[in-house]
Amino acid sequence: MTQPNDEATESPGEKPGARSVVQDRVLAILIIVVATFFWIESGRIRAAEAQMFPRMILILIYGLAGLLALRTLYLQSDHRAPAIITSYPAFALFVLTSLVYVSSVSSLGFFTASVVYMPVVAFLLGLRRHGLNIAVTFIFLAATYTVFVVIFARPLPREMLWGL
Amino acid sequence: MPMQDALLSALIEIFAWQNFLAMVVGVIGGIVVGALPGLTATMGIAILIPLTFTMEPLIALGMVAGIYNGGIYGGAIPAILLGIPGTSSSIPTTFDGVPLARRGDAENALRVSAYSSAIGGIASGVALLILAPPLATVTLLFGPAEYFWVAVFGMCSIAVLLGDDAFKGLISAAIGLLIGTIGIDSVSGHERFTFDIFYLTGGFDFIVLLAGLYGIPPAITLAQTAASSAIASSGLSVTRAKTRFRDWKSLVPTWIRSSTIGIVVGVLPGVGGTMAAFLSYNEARRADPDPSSFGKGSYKGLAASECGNNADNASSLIPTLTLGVPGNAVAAVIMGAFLVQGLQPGPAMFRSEPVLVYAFILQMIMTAGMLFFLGGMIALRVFAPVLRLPPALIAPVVICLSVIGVYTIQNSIFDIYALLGFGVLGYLLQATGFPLAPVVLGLILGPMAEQQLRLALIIARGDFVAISTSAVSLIIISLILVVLAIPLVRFVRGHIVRNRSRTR
Repeated sequence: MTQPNDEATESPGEKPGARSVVQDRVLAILIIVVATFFWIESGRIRAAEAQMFPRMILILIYGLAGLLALRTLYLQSDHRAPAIITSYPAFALFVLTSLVYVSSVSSLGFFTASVVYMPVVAFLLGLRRHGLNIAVTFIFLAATYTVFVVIFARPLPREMLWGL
Repeated sequence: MPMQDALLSALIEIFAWQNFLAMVVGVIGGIVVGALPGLTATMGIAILIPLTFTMEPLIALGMVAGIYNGGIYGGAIPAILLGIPGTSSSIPTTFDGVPLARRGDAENALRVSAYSSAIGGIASGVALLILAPPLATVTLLFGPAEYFWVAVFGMCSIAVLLGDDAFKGLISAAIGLLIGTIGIDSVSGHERFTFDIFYLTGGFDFIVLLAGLYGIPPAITLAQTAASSAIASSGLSVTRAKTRFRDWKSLVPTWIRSSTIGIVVGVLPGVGGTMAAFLSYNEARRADPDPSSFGKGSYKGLAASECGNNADNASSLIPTLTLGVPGNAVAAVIMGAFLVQGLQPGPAMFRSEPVLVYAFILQMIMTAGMLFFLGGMIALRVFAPVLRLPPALIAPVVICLSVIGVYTIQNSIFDIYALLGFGVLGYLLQATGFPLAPVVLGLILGPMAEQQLRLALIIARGDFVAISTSAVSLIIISLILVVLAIPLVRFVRGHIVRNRSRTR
């Protein structure tokens, strides 16, 4: 099972667990900021009974985030937090290409967008077995076409290339 | 309808060819997903639920049952052959599976793991069949206040017991609850947190959240490990064993012990198959006259792990079917599969849809039994090409499958953006130590909890104290307090141990 890499680098002189404590503190502040944004927005809910439950949740979030922040002041974690992103280039590449792919599904169609996205991403991630890359792309798309279009007749965005 | 009649009708229905085919496809699909390192049974069900949207409920649930049983078993294949557990509950399988494969007994190891998984799964399904109906009868006594507390108990237990950090677990549950409030309030009709965005008025479909949280983060992780991936295919060449394993009798006590452990662990909320597998393995080693053989290629160790983690499968659905409160992540996802079909799991379902409930339980038993035939060497021979796929290819495949699945729910491009957004959120939450299951549970149980709370408050004329005074409510509140005290006890115990070690 692939897990985020826990062999993160440690700065010289950094105490073990320091990153975990700092990370939790930053997260607690971030959560409080987001909760405050939602709290202000909850003021726009006109009915009191509809406002009650979201505000109960937000109070709970405030309390828990506060405790999380407070904990970082008193506790020194005895383990270091793993790095959030283990490979920034791969992360950025994958998320950005996926975002472009998602944006293009409505205009190009699912199959047209996928036939470009799948092999390009695999190539950019380091796959150099082009035959396998193309074969898997076409087998996968043929299988999804059979299941979603032929068998279940699900409506999909209109394809730019094939007019499906 | 009496239980016997419902059971008989269910038995007839599940043998219809469409249902049977759905179960076979589900088991095969589950084995493939479970066998691919980095992908889990939970993820498999989450991204395949949209596929079941247009199916008849029984066919859809048969496929879900197959994916669940197949997915948990599938984790054993790379655990034995590559030493990489396909699912976390297969970690103890590597202890003896890898030494067996190295000494040329991979074929026997695969067969023992398949048979043990099947036996554990069948025992668990039988336990579900015996225990769920009487428990559902008891829960019929619950009113709105009791249901509200049950929902709180479900969220607290998953949030506290699932991860290492109770605070983060509870925050995850609260995030799920908050996401669940987005959209139009079903009682008053007022918009909540829609930010004047039209697409948000209907709220987020929980399948979008499920596919985002469980489908996208593994894909992102696979993409990051793609360049330096250690998931090689070289270890997948398996030769036929010289001697066939025939000493099945010696495994019977292990199967009985591990099945019992798996069933008990499964019923407990938030514990899960990983714990079942480890406990089963440890108990098998403790009970064995030669414990030193464990970890060096013991068939009993392998059988204990695989039987234990599959014996957790159906029994973990007992709280879901009887209370409507999932006991773990995969149960939450399966509850989603019921909701997609317009079915609300809980005691009322045993009255309104008895045939369907019993059919699903029987499908859990049948799909576990299918592992006898679809597991082992057959699985390896059929799925070997899939197991050889590099992570660089699996990652975009998962994204494409999630996108098409989510789009077909309500033909909404906005849902695909939401899928990606929840995916990145899920990845960041997971990477910072926040468990994902409580988020899903919060989204599923939040509306139910709010509805029951508001109903209870109307009955109690707005008196908050009155909704916690019934005997059942007090018992559930006590259980909530016990669950919340667990991390405190852990902290105090750890503090005492640290102080003692310092003074020495």
